[in-house]
Amino acid sequence: MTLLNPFGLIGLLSLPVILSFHLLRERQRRTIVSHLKLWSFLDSEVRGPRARRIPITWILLLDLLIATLISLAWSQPQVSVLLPAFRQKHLVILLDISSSMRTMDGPVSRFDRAKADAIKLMDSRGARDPVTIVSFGQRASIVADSRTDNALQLQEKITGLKAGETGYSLQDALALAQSSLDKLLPAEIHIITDGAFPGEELIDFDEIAYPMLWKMVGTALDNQAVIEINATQIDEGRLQIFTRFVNFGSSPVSRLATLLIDGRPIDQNMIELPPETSVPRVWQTTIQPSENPVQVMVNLEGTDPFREDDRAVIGLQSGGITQVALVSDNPSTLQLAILAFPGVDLEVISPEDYSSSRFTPGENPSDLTIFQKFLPETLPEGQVLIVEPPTLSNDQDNSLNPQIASLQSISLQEIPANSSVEFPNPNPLVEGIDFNGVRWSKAWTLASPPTGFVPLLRVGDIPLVLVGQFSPNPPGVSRVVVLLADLSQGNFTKHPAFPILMANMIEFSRSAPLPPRFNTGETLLLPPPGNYQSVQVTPPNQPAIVMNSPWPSEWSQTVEPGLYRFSFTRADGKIDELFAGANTGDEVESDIRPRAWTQEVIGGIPVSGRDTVQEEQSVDLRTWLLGAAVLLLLVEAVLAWRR
Amino acid sequence: MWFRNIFNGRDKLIHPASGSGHPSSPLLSPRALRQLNHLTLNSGFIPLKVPSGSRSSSMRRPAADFREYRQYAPGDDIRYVDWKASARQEHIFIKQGEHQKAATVYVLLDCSASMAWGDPPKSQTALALANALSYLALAHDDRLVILPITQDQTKTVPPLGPLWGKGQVPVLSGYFQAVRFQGQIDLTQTLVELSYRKYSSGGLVLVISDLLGVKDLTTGLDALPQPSWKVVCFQLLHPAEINPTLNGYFEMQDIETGQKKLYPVTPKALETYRQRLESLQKQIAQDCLERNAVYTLFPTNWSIENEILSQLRRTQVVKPL
Repeated sequence: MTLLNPFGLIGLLSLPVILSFHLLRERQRRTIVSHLKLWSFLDSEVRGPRARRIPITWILLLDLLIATLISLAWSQPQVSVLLPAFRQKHLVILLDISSSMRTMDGPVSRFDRAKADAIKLMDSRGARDPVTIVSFGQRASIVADSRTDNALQLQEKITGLKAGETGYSLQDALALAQSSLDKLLPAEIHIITDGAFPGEELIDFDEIAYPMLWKMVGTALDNQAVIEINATQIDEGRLQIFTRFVNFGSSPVSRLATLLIDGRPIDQNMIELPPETSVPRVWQTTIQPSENPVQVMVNLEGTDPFREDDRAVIGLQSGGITQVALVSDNPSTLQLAILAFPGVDLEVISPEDYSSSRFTPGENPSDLTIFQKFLPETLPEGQVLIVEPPTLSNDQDNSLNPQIASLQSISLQEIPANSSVEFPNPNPLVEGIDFNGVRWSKAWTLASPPTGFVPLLRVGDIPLVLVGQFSPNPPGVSRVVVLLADLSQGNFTKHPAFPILMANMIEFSRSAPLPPRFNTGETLLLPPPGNYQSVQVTPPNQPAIVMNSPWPSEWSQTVEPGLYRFSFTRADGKIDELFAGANTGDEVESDIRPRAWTQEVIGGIPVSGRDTVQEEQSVDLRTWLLGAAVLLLLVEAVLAWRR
Repeated sequence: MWFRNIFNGRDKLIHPASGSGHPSSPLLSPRALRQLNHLTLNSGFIPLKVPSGSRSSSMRRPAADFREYRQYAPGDDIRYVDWKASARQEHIFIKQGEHQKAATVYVLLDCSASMAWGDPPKSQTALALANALSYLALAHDDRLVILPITQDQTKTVPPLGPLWGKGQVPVLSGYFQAVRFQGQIDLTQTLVELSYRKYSSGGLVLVISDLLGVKDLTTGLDALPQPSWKVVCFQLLHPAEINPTLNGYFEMQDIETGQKKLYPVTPKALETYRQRLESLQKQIAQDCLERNAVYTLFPTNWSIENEILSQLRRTQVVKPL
């Protein structure tokens, strides 16, 4: 036996104190009898001097025992005993959180049943068996682990899980499960799923070194879904909506489909859905410019077990708006090319205004800043296009930053006719642009190209487009593209390659545009906060979430189907709103019938029993001792009460 | 709890004696008196020695108070010959009459300190019993002598009597109220001394005592032999003596001697105590039976009018008129 707190034995000093109390008490109890002779038979019971006599009573024995037990408990004794114990093993529970798990299979959803099964499985494990909960849907992730979470936290995390991700990342989940296993312990992988995904393509059972135990929570149910929606503006004021309905069932079904724009019903059609068939449907509708709709929704009326995929929604205002600032005295050529690109907010600024007070160094409200025949004292953060770099006077040269000054041109160089264009450094900015037929005429030559700048486009030895960045350029980095071609001559500005190059520049500036529609559970890339101060995300039927700059680059809380509203607030208070529709309908997820492969895995793998082994375990006696002390205290109370 | 037991009843005396030794009123209740008026001491118990009493004697002698005839025998007083009856018969008949005699009743009252033990004390029942028995004696013209048994006569009242006649009844209550219970007694010595008492040629001896301190009762009983003497022993025990309820260690003090001893009183010890007391009672009863004495036990929670008179009738110490 080991005492974790040997000082607890100090409590044994209470034993003589208790004895003293009892002796004191006995001295205080006296009685007068009529004839002491009647009690003389007790003379033999009393031996020794009175001071040494200890009145042995039940109460005294109980008091001494209780004090001893409490003292021992205080010293925290532990004994090592060989006890039969279940062989410890690591339990991994893979929980399917795909959207098909939201199917109502009976009175409860498949996912509620799966969570209950997971909690039951977790509770039935051995006391020291580690358990790891892994969810899989669009992506796999570790939800909870008993090595870091207590039992309550495990249960809370399982209960707090939401199904709705479109996807079946079982392979990733298995890899994650195997990587999370305690290598010193045997393990079991329990998979709780409805089997509504092509598992046979995913799982190579030979690669899994641990027993896999399947728990299927779904039954074969018919379902109809809207698996596709698209909206295209075919011309001014006319919108074409394409949808595809699928019947994942063995019998034909007629469902009424309703087209809604901003929640307003536009049209209704009865859709005949033969079994195992998809049916497309196209609507065309006219929209007044003043309406400025934000969403189109197609809804299948009626109910089926999986309600979430009976509607599809698409946002009509997505992708974002690119702010472009053009600093030029003669902006017409560039202005025409930029405005031809949709979603661009162009602001033309004269070099004088830019230099005076319009902008402050280190602050750039624009996604793209174009300097034509002008070099500022400080380059703004972000994407910068310098077109036709100017030749500086000596005063200007001395006043400018040496790096910026290095961008000045010194001369116009003649470009030989019929020279072919080369792409010395592959870059998306110029990739795919056909420069054939462009007559370049002349190009500006830089005095000393800045370090790190590389040509993207070259004719012979003459660079036409340079790219590089200024760093450090507090507070951020300026990604600089220098267009050296002389736009006033030649036919470049009239050639289709020019607007395409400008469009690429704008696309470069526009980071992570939001899609008009996406599948639930997908991760959305949020625009970087450079130009915005805050973003407010309003999921469907949920309160808005406001995030101030800097916010995460991704938004993954997308399990709820419906329209997501993203409101970006600029420094000047202007709000850009984008809408993206999250849809559950999917060719795989909406087919909520367990696949054939599930029949093979159910019962195919023996469920491992719980082997018992003799293990030397350290048993803490404190609880037992305290329990015994309390029990004896109750006994003493009863005895004292009866006296 | 141990602390509850420790501090519970500090300095509390278990089963204390009444302390003063002064008894409560020994007066009999009207109901008890009504019952006593229909009772008398059993004449069969009483050796009749004193002439001019009210009890019928079995002894026949020639007398004017005719009871029966018998044939003349030589030596008979011819004054009692019934000549008329003899003339009608062939024999001479002597008239015989009943000889009325009185009994002497000795009430021996244990006045030791142990009789003052208990709550209420045993002395209360002892005095009531002595009063009742004395009343019965006086009510039937018996000679009554009350002898308080004590080691030191100065500590209690002197003996009373002989008294006779119902007119002496009021004396009793005053006498019994003056009785004090102190010290120790020697009952055997008292009984032996009674046999030597001047003019005492026999009688009914009613011993009222707890009989716990008696050392050699047989010697005392032998000193009062039949048929001159008839001894009745009333043992009075308090219910707490018969069935004590102590538990644990107690410092016990003898009420008579003041001796103290620390004893562990356990349920087993209590059982042994009861067995020893029962054995003592059986021994006293056996001694009495062997010497034609009567023994009876009265728990002191018995009342005169209910249990005690009934017990006296059952043991035939008294009988209805």
